[in-house]
Amino acid sequence: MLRYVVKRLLLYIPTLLGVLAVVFILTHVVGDPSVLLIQPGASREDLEHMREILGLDRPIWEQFWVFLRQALQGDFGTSFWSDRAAMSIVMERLPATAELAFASLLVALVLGIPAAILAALKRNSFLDLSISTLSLFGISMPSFWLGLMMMLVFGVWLQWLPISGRGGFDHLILPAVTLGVSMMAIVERLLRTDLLDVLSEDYVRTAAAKGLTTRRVVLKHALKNALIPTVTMIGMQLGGLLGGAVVTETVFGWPGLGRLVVKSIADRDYPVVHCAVWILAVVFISINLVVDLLYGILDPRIRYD
Amino acid sequence: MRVVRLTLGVLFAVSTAVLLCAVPSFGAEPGEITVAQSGFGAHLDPHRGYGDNAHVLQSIYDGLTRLDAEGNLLPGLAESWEQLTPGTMRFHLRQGVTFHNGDELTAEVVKLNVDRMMSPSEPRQAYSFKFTGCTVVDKYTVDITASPADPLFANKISYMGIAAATLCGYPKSDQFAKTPIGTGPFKFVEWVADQRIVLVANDAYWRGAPEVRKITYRVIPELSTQISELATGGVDIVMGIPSEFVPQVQASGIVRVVPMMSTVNRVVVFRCDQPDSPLAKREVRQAINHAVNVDLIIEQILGGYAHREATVCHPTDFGFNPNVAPYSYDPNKAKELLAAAGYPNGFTVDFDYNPTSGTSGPKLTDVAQTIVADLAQVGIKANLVAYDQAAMSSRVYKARNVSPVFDFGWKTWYNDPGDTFYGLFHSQSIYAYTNNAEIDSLIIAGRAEMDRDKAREIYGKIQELLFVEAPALFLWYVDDLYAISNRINWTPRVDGRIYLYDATFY
Repeated sequence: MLRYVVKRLLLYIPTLLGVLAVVFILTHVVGDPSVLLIQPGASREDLEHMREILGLDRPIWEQFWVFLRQALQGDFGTSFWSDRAAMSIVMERLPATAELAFASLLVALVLGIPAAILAALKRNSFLDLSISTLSLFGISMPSFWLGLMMMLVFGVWLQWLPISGRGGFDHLILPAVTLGVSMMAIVERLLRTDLLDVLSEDYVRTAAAKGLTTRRVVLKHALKNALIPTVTMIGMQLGGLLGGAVVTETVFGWPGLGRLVVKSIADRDYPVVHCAVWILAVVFISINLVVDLLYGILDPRIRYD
Repeated sequence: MRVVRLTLGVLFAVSTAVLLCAVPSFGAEPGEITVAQSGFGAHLDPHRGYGDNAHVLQSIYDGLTRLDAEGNLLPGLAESWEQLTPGTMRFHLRQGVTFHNGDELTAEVVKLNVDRMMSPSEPRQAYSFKFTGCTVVDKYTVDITASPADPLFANKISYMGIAAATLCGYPKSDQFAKTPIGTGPFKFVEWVADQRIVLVANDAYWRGAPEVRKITYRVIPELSTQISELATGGVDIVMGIPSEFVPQVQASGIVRVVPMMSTVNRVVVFRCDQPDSPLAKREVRQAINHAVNVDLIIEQILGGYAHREATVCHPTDFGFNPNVAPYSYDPNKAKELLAAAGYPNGFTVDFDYNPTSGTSGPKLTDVAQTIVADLAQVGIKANLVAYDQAAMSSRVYKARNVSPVFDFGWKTWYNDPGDTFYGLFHSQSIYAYTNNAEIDSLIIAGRAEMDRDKAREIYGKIQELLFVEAPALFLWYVDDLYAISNRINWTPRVDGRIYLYDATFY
């Protein structure tokens, strides 16, 4: 197991180097921020001077070398716009992003797993049909629309919940539910299918024949085996959520990483874009690793050699 | 069945917990104002250009001079000033003014600010002049020199905030974001990234304590969300409401919409610098001005919230020439002009635009498409190409490879069109694509003319010439639509700054 983890970690080195190279090239291809940073009325000299200040007048390979050397030490430079360290700009957004991602994951799991179990147990019943229909809605609804509708109902009409911004627990509810609903729907559909497969297995029938309660059969025997594809999917979704749910963040004015990245790209603020993409790559890779290790816990037949 | 019960139990528990925890506060506190913005700028450095944090910067910092809501020049931190030589201005500072940290405003502090403006290695606010020196005469008198001499020097430095001496030692902007210290009517409390900036009243303000006790600037990127917040009293002021939302906002009953004619002109610029291009011919450029039904676009797409321009001079600008009337909509005349220029069957041309620029942002696509349709009526086939702000800027003034026709806008400051004329139409400006020796010399003469009566005459001539030469399709000045809570007594300013020192409560 330890050997497996070390091997995986070593494999990440080229991946992360690749990420650095790609993000550097992409940002430099789309043009530099000097044109945005100069003030209206500036002259050609001002423009050239701005490029000098930002170090963009140096040869591209030299810029890349400096970037790489610093990035490997965790230093992505300072934002062109605010003169603040890119790393601290990105890190101050991470808590908000993580908070929203885990809250919506919680919503998805708390609602999705029981719904899937119910649907699988009462297969083809009215309940199953209702749950399936609801999850179809959940998957199909665009998050910005659902978000605005919930804002209208709970924020404007009923005035139960704050409309936007980040603050206490109450601020988290609307964005978390908005994001959680589509994920919940995916969890429900995937888990129901896998549960149905597992429930028809011999060992489940054996367990029931032994006289175990339905609850024990489902939760102890069937669910654990049916969860693996769902765990994979949740890992990928969580990676995406941590990358920022730009639309939901925008609708609810949530100060997350996704919006920072989008704004920094529009501003051509290379240091912030580089740093954010790097952090996201690390997070994504780490989640993948955790998911792989979870397989072994859920299904002891899986070995890491 | 137990699973069902268990599930329902969990659901009930979770939803109850959610509702019990949710005890939000609605409505604003007395004396407090919340302003919604789609995003913040990156810094609070008054020497770097005010940008997206202009409202905040202007509340924290004062300039040596100041402009009132209509743009009239008034004394600021300097009680008076006099022109010593064309390039040198002497300022007599107001005595007894203190910064938010208790330091006194002296000539020495002003010098530190000007010196910081002059530091060559950092991005600073660009002016049509460069600061060349600053001399302390006595504790409350300071001489500032700049080159070239600018008749509007006193107006222009009104937006150069004077920061406390402790800040001037930092060449970079980062410290300013943590502890901005000025002499302004509001003091900085906190800046939570991408969420809010909070200011409180400066009771020691030299013009008297403001009635507004606290201002919160909140980031709310999505317009629909801003409007929902307005309707529930979560925010008090929103700038840039699209015209189609006006009835909905007014319907809330707690908010009014106030239009304020902006000083940003909208133009579609023609590249006159390519001799082989049809646009090098004056008749073609005039034809386009006749071919587009600008009034109809204002009425149908902008909801009537825009004012037609004859050239790029705002009606309240110094030197506005009322004798120059906008082009008439006349497709037949356009066709005649095209035929006279040698293009009886029209021509094909690329048309660059940025769908997200300007306050009428989302509608610029509709506007551009309507212009294309109007041009097609007279035989000109225009291919629309969209670029984002950075790409468009780079094409216009860095790579200078923008298409022969492109959408552009320019904000006029200090009620003086001189810099606008220069920026858009002087051959040496990096933003301009006009090569007209007469226009060039008039612009230079008008901008430098210390005798303002003569300058007025020159500006009048420039407008006549721009009208005839038609280096652009002249469109409009939009109205900025402000939604303002009915509990607040405040009128928007001509410069578009949400400056709440003079706001009061009903």
